[in-house]
Amino acid sequence: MGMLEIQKLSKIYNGKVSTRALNNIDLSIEQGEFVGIMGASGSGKTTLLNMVSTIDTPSSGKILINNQNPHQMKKNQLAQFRRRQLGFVFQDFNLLDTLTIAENIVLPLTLEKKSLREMDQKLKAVAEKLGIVEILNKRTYEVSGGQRQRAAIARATIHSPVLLLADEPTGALDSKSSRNVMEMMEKINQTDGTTTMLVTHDPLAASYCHRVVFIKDGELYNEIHRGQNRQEFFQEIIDMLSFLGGNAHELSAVRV
Amino acid sequence: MSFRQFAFNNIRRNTSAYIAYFLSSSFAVMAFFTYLLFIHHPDIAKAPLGKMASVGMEVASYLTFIFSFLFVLYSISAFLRVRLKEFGILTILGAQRKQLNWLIFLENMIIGTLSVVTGILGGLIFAKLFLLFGENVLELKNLPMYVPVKAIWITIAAFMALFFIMSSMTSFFVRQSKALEMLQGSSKPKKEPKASIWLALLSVVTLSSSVFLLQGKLSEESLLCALLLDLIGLYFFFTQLSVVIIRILKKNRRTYWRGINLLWISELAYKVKDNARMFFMITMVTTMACTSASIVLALKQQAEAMYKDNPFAFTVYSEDQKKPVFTEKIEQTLKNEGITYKKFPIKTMFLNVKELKDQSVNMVRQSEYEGMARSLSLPVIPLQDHETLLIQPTVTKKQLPVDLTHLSFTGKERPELTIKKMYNRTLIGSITLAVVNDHTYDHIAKTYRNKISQDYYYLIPSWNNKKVPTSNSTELKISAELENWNPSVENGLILARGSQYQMTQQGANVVIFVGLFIVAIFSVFIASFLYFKLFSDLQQDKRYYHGLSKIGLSLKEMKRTATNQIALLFYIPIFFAGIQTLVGISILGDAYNTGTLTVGLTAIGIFVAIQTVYFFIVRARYLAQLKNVMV
Ligand SMILES: Nc1ncnc2c1ncn2[C@@H]1O[C@H](COP(=O)(O)OP(=O)(O)OP(=O)(O)O)[C@@H](O)[C@H]1O
Ligand SMILES: [Mg+2]
Repeated sequence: MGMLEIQKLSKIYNGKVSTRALNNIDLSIEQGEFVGIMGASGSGKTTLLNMVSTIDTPSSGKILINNQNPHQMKKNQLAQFRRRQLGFVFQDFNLLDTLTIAENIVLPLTLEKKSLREMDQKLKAVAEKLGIVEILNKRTYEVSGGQRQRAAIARATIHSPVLLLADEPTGALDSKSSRNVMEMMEKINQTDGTTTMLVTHDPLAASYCHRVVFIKDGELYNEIHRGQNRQEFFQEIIDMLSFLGGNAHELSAVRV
Repeated sequence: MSFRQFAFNNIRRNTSAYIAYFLSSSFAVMAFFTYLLFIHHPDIAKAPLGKMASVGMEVASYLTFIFSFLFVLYSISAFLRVRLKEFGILTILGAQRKQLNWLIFLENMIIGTLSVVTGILGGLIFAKLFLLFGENVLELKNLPMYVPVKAIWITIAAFMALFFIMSSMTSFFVRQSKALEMLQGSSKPKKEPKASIWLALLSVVTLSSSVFLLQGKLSEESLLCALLLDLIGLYFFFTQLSVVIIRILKKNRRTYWRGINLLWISELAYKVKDNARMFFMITMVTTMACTSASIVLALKQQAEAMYKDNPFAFTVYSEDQKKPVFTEKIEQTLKNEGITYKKFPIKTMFLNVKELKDQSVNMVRQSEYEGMARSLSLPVIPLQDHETLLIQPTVTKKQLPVDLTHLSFTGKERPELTIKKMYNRTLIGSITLAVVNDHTYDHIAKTYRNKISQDYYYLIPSWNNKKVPTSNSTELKISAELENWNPSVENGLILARGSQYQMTQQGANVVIFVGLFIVAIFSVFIASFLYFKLFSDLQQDKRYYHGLSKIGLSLKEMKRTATNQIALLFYIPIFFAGIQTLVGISILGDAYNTGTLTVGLTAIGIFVAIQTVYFFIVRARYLAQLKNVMV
């Protein structure tokens, strides 16, 4: 039984035209695994991630995180579950401009009313790990995009979540910053053993994963595992994407 | 499609964005119009409301217009800010500066005209209600509805001019570069609010020196000076000191880094700085409103006390003894009505006392006093030469010094009196009485002949003054008749306690009515300002809470954070207005010597109550919007 179990998950958006965004997805992620989700635009990646991150509710099927079904929880309980068990990294960073970087990072802990000592200790540890000690007292608009994303990763991991979820974390970054951010995510995954699920368009980012799952039109299409060599894995991902169709080639040409 | 059509369609399509602007403008017009309709009512214009009341009404109409003006101005800029993005798109699509201005001008004129029309119509609909309300508060007889031609013209002229000027000045509000910026990245973060330590210090210094000035001896200059210092201090308090205080508050991480405090305290600095000028204005106007309310209510209370404590229904001052026209008139009138009375002739001698710096006494003869004392069962004591019985009126709070044993007077003779006994009772007016035996009186009178006046006091046993009179009581009718009676005689006048009471009441009622009107309008304006403010930031706040919600901010926590923020917007100015009012009252209280404090607290209480109602409405609407973005 994996740490994250997705069983027969479907999502239908009802509107004027109802869209079947996800269809009968089965996916299991082990403790400590680093999994990437890829697929063409509109294939349902974000939808899948939103189901797992409990932001959206499935139409049918089941999601178990550590054997708990968050979709059966009440709203306030769910918020608490999210901030204790999950960590989020977003494409647009989602940091608050009114707070300093340090305050942004400790936010999940203050909401839990942790002691100052614990907060300071954890803040120091995570900031050192991510190399953002010097910018802790700066404001979000005074630092670069890459630094912002690292701060966001710090916020997402300061409370040692069981599952780290990232939706296109490198989407707004240049390739150097992307690499740097991905190295940080890899480091967190390796040192803390945090199970990580990453949604991305970017083959370079995906190449840091242990396994990449491809979705097509809301269904699981294929998955590939990483061997020893990241460069090789990167090439495999590119091939897979071009096989899937879409414009992955053009994208990757810029990035490598 | 012509550009005019475009402007029309623009309004039709963006109805919701325009509706708030339209409604608030329309409300401003209605408020102003209703007020004009009232003061230009033929019966009000004729009514004998006194000079103070008519000046008050006049001032109030300017205030109403200024408020309306500011309100419309604010609405326009709030409205344009919301639509900045749209202007950005138009600019990108190639609209020229001139075209954009023309578009904004047309839109504003259309909305302005519509709000003038609807405001006047709305005013006409509510007019009857308003007149009824006026009738009751002012205790006037029935005010019929009329065709308010004058009010309509003034309103149309004033507001069409206002809208015209503002529509032509929109370039002041909308800078094209700003609009473009808006389009490129609306997520551009606000800079942290800055404050100057020196200006913050200036605020502390001015506020404390204002308080210091008020502690000392009060004169007109020091009062004015204190007010000025207070204004400066308060202004810099909101714009500078508050930011510094919040910064210090943030230093205390034990509270700041705890629960939702991190969220709302960090927002606070921005919100206070953004709204500093508004806070300042609200505080000043609220203070003024509450202080005047307490003064007016205190005046009313005092008038009531004067009425109840005064045993005599009529007083005739300085009657010419050879041609006693006033006393004859009173007696004739009372006889015609079949009312029995007792008349007390008193010769008062108005003297300055050396021991009492700013007080004087009225000296009366023992024999005359005893005549009164028997009818009113007052204490009677034997008095030797140069002994005196002091009677302290209850209607003033000016207490005589406790260690007072002697009274001495300036002048050639410098007579000195020993105080034998003192008691409290309002007898004749609000000046302390000094009763001396007839021999002493005659002796002193030689020196102060020109200070003596012959007064007459009328006691009417059948007129009960333990309760305030109703407007159709016999006492008030006869009082009014006698006070208005105007013989062509140089000396003397009649004072009727009933009329005095009624006049103060009516004057106070007008002031209260006008005051209520202003406070009502103002508080609606404040609430709408805050409403605009909140809802123009709504998109941003939605994004803010949506992001927080994703990382696990619960609905409950969101509600608490948002409630704190809205509550601070609503209550910060009222809090300071409350403090200022209390300070103001405690100073003015000395001058008006009645229970002003309770009155002041009541006035603030009413204001707080009104704002609380608005607070809950705005909060509910705001939370309902935010609830949608919580995942
Ligand atoms: N709130 C919604 N309401 C209706 N349809 C939606 C909604 N969100 C997504 N969809 C639809 O569901 C499908 C999957 O969307 P999703 O956002 O998961 O794609 P994605 O793989 O993340 O795409 P991208 O790579 O562009 O981010 C799309 O067809 C989209 O139009
Ligand atoms: Mg997506």
